[in-house]
Amino acid sequence: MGAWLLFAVAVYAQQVDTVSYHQLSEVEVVEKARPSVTREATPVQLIDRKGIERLGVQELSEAVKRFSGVTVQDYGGIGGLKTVSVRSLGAKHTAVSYDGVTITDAQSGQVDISRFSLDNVEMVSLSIGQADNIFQTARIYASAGALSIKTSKPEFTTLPFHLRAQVKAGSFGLVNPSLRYEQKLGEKWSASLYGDWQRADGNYPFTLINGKLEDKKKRYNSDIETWRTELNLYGDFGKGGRLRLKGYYFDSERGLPGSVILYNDYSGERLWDKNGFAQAHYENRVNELFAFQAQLKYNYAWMRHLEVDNKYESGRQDDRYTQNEYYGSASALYTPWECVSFSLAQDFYVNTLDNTLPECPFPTRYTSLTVLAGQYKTSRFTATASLLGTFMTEKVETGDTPADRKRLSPAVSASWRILPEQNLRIRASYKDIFRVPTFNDMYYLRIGNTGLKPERATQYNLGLTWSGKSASFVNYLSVSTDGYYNRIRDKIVAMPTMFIWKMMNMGEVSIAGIDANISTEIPVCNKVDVVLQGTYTWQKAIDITDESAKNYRHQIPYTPKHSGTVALSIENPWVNLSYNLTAVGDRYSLPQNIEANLIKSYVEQGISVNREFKFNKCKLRLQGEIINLGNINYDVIQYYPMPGRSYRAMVAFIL
Amino acid sequence: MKKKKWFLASALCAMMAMFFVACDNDDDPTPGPDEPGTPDTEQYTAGFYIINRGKSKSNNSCISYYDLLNKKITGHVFETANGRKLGDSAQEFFQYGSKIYIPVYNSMIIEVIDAKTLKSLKSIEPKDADGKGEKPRAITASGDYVYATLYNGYVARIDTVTLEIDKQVKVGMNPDKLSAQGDVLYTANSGGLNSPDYDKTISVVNLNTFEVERNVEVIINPTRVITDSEGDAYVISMGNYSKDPATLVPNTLQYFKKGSSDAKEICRASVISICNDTIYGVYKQYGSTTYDFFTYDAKAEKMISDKFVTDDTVITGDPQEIDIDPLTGNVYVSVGGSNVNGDMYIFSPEGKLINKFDTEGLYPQGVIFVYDEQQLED
Repeated sequence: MGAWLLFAVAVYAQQVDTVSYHQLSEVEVVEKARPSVTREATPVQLIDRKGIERLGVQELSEAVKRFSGVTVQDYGGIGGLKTVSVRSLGAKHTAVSYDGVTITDAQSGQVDISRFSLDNVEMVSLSIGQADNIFQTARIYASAGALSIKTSKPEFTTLPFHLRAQVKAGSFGLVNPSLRYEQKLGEKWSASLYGDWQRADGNYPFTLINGKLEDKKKRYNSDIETWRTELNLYGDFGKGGRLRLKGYYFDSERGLPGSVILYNDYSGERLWDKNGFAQAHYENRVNELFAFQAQLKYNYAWMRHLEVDNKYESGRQDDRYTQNEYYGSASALYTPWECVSFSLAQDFYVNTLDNTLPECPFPTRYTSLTVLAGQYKTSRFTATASLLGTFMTEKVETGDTPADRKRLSPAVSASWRILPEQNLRIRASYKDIFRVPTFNDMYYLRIGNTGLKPERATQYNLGLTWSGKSASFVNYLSVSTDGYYNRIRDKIVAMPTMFIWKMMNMGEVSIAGIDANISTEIPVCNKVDVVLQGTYTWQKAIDITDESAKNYRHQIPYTPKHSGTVALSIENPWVNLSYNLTAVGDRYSLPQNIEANLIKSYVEQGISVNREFKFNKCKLRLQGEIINLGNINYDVIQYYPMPGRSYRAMVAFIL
Repeated sequence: MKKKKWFLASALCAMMAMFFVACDNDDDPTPGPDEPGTPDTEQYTAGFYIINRGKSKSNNSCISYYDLLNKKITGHVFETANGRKLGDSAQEFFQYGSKIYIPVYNSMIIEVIDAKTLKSLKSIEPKDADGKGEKPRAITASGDYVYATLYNGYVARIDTVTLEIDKQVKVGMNPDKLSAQGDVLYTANSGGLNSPDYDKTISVVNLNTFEVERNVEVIINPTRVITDSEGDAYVISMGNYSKDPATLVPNTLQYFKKGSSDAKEICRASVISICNDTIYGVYKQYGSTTYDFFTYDAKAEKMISDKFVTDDTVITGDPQEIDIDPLTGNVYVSVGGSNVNGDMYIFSPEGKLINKFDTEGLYPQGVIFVYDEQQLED
């Protein structure tokens, strides 16, 4: 046990610059290991439970919006699709992992992050490029950016069980009760059960601007009802390793209000989702030299899309899609010397799609990913190199069988602490990665194209980070600035060809940008702290596909040149207060940067207050928020209006 | 001065109604109720309106005006005249008498505007028997009525005075373009939303009774029908867009004689238009980057030329519509880009490029010519 602990400290604590760990004791460093945002050789941003509670963040998308270099494409409202694009590479290049296992949707290639509850979450982190932790599944290597969601693991100190019961309520008919129960099951085992139910009418008002007309309207058909259940079983066998089993089930029904169409308020689309998965993770740090981990997952996803519209002969279009995934992963970490480690990871997975659309080819995709990575790490210098090998083959029941795909994808990164006494670091990284065409890209009725090549992304990053106590009046200060250049080749885009759209490898995008982050904590007086965080992103993401095209060197759609966030919290014994601001510059809804396509900049603000009352062994937490304080009318995606000023309140009982 | 001329031009364009009708692809030589006689040679083409469909769900359908004298385009003229946007996915526009009718598909309205001022006269909202909106697709006219296809399978009859729909008749699945000749109306029933089980009929509607007289079977997925001066119907079927050459049903031009139900294939074609019984057609199969541009004599039933463009002009993008100015014989090809503004290519009757310019909107779908009096020297 002692050896293991030592080893774990060696593995984790090495990644941690002590300064940013001011709140945690050494023991906690092991338990709640998290990467240091300033020490990593590639940009990493994170928000933990404490930050989530301090800022009053209640949705995963709200947490992710606070990261720099990220665009959350938000179709508005509680049920509106929310996806994450990192540095303009597109949402399909972002991997989303839930407790270490990648969530996938082979059909659409992107993950709707609105389906995850934040209540159950311990930490959300976003890494861009290849993160320093080499002891990972191969799948984590296979994306340009990775959003990692980690749920809380139960820890028992006094009581052998914990309970958190909470109710959230808010504008537009939002009601969301949830329950989390944790139980210790003897020396080695513990379990947690989480469940929540959410419903909302979602019929929020908005202002539609049509030329000189301003129309007060309401969003209709935005209702949503969702069930989420999660069961975790944790086994800790000391030298025998650690086992974690998870079962997850998500069920929802929602109306799809669609985009606002002038003069037409009709909306007849509904969506049903059922998603269940079971996953097992086993990890054993055998000795100081050797560690290994393995996981298995089965994922089932079912979707029904119904559109009631008289344009269809039968008055409706009712489609069902079923996807299955079988996934297995094994990885080993070998540390021959204290500063040198190697890892080998092998993943294999099978994806199937079955739908009721005509001409469905019932594809089955077999993917094998192999990663070999090496790392040299001292207190001042970290260098990591990895090579990912991908082999993919596909079978279809009808139509063309796409060619097998083979690829090698290298990544290298380094971080160097310039001065021994100062936490000033310079970092540089390179990654060459790709995304495979999704089932929709390849097989969707008529528009699909089985001849598609993978879409390639090359990432370069150069950054400076600093963290420490800049002056006696601050607890800590952390700053980072990264300049980056990305290039997308063979971008998969829908092209109109004589009245019908078709997917093609037609795009090339050049993306240059700067991300800057600052975070500081200033004690004002006894028990009163001010925490300030800010991010800023500048991006020039231009289309360089075709010199003769009208959008040549124009900024790609939905990519602001400037964007930023500010979050300010005042923590005190009475009422904690936080204020947040998101500013997004002018964007264009279509490829051409002309007035007709312009979407105006906006600044959205919110405030949150919370207070915790402690009675004996239990706590009562009250929280309230005002979202979109200025009641501004804005769209993230054109003609998908966002809600105006709205309110949310929460009561939680914690034992 | 300029303004005055503009007004004159606009006023005259109303008088030219019959000409537009005669040479629009929605061919109809029957004059409307409020139309004067044919234009004389003193007139010239001052400019033209362009309708841009825009991208679906983007509410960016718009009308531009191109001044041929000053070679200057003015975008968004509907919005300027009405202080609001046209809507989403306007499929085309059609002038009849002093009015222009615009089927705005996703907005589920038929916008009727004054051809002189572009001011909205009415936004007709077609409704089905259950009171639900219907999506208008195309417009034509004959006698006292304007007719619109509705994508849920109907043709609506609109009274040109009251601008009310007084009757709807059921045709085939997802009717697209339509054409009227005297007392006969043809609709191209595509069944496009029911693929791969497309419709394959042309409904022949008797305009005296406003009832379907018969259905003529053609190749699957007909989207366009035009008529020549003899009332013969020329039909484009888009086929099945298959990627597999073995199962591909290509875009095909067919015709059947007035009164006949026997459709015969002519050649491959994707877009056609007719003027003075000459058909102008472009063939560009789904996914293809090359195209053929031909002319065909509808009276003699024979090909005139399989290469209309005689200079080295290459049309980049997808031809959406062809219009022929009956006064000059110039050929206007509306070309869509890839989510960027479209282009207008103007060719001389000899097939040489005269001009090419940006249409200030996405996916242009045709033009309406504006005529003026010849300016006399003092």
